[in-house]
Amino acid sequence: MGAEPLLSVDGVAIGYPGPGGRVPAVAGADLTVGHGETVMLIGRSGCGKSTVLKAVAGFLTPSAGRISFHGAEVEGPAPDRAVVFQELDQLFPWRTVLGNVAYALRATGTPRDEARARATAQLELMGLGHALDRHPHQLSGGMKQRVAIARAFALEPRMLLMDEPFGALDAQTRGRLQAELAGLARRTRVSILFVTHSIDEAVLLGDRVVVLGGRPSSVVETLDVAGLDSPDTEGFTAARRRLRALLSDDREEAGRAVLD
Amino acid sequence: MPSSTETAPPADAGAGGRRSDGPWSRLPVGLRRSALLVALLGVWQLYVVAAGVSPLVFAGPWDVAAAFAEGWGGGALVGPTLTTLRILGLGMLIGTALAVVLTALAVATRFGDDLLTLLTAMVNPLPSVAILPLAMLWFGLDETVLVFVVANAVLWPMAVNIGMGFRTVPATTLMVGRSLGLRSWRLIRDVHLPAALPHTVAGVRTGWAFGWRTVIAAELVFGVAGAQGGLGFFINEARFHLDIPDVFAGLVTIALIGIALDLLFTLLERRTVVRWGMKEGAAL
Repeated sequence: MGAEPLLSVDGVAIGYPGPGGRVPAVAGADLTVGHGETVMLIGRSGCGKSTVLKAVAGFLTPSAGRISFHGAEVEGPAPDRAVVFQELDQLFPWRTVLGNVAYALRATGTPRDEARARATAQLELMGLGHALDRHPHQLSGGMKQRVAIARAFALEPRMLLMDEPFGALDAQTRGRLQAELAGLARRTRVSILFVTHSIDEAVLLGDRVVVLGGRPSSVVETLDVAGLDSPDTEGFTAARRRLRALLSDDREEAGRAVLD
Repeated sequence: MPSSTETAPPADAGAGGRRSDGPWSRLPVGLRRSALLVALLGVWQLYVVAAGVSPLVFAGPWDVAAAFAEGWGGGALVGPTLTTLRILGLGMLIGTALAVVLTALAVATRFGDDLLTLLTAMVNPLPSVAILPLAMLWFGLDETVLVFVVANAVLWPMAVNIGMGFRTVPATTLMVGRSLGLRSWRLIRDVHLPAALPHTVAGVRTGWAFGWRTVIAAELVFGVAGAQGGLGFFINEARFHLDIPDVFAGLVTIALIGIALDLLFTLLERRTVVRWGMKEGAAL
């Protein structure tokens, strides 16, 4: 990328408070996300990939290392890093679909009328024009996540942080939303850090894939997967094979750790 | 009544088929309850006529209805009702505001949390009307006393419920709010408060019931303050004048207001938390 990356995570370690002191979850996370780049963070469940994302979002403070974003150290959550979660309860149930998106804009300083107009436009763009007045509990899981993504994009953030946003969806819905997200990312040139445990999702959506492994975890390898968006090509298959090998190595290691 | 071996109709099988009293169950619920009400009123009237109880200690439904109509038509019941409702409303307003402030403080600081926990544990088990004598010492024979005991009655159950609501806001919901840049008071107002609404509504329902009982009890003890006594005072006055139908008319008024307010809160619940899917299966 040449120029300074938008996000750089250097030697970040994060622990959780546990019985008998802090339990280290992440020992050494190093990664960068360039402007307009989509970086996928993959690893087995419990490897701390969501922990890294929450630290980038500003919800957790690293015990060592440094996270700098757009030239400044991350000091807390801010709307320039919009977050989309896996949980289907990330929409405010007391607001309508339109209200959820418009509120996010108003909370970040957009005047009321403009917020409504921009929210409506974003939702219509994502095929939710018919559901503006519904409340979240009247939506399917896929629609809820689509609204959450619309809310994140409406904020026009520098970076989108996605924490397994399609993890709770059925395969068909997941595929459709992946394609929509890829299209939006291409059009808006937004930078994305995307946590997933699905190898196919990582290769399909990412420009690069960062593999997190070990316990406590660190970055095992970074794989270039830019341009691989058709599962039938040879490059895709090779990347998939490589990632599968890396992740299963980690499984054996974890198994040994348990036996020790 | 038919024997209980008869099978229960499917309409009422919800309770595990435990109820089985035949044709009675097959009547629509409104009809069943109206019939029961009429029957009870009949028994009441019959007892008064047949047993010949002294009208100085007991009144029949007919006399009560007449006193009720007279009280509302002539205005004797209107004033006391408005007085009581005004005291209840003022007390609830103050109690609710204090509950929100205390709970917000408890969410924001560890000190506030400890304070609220301790105060709630100490004061909540104490029936509010018990502090009436003290309040009379502090505030004199003034309406302030009644407002004070009602506010105290409402404050603690509300604080317990709102506190529970604040503590159970889903972590994701809070993270969404924080990532929008919301801090302190705005986060509390725009995320904590609406997310805690199901618990708050439950708190208001408990709170008003406490307040309602307290204001009537306090008025019975307190008598009249200023220009106009409330419903508790009205009952006591009627008893003093041996006007038993008026005593009953006062009681009926108190019960009817209780039913009406409870309906109002059910409606409020349906328009908000039920409509937003924040409370399951709350159909009437």
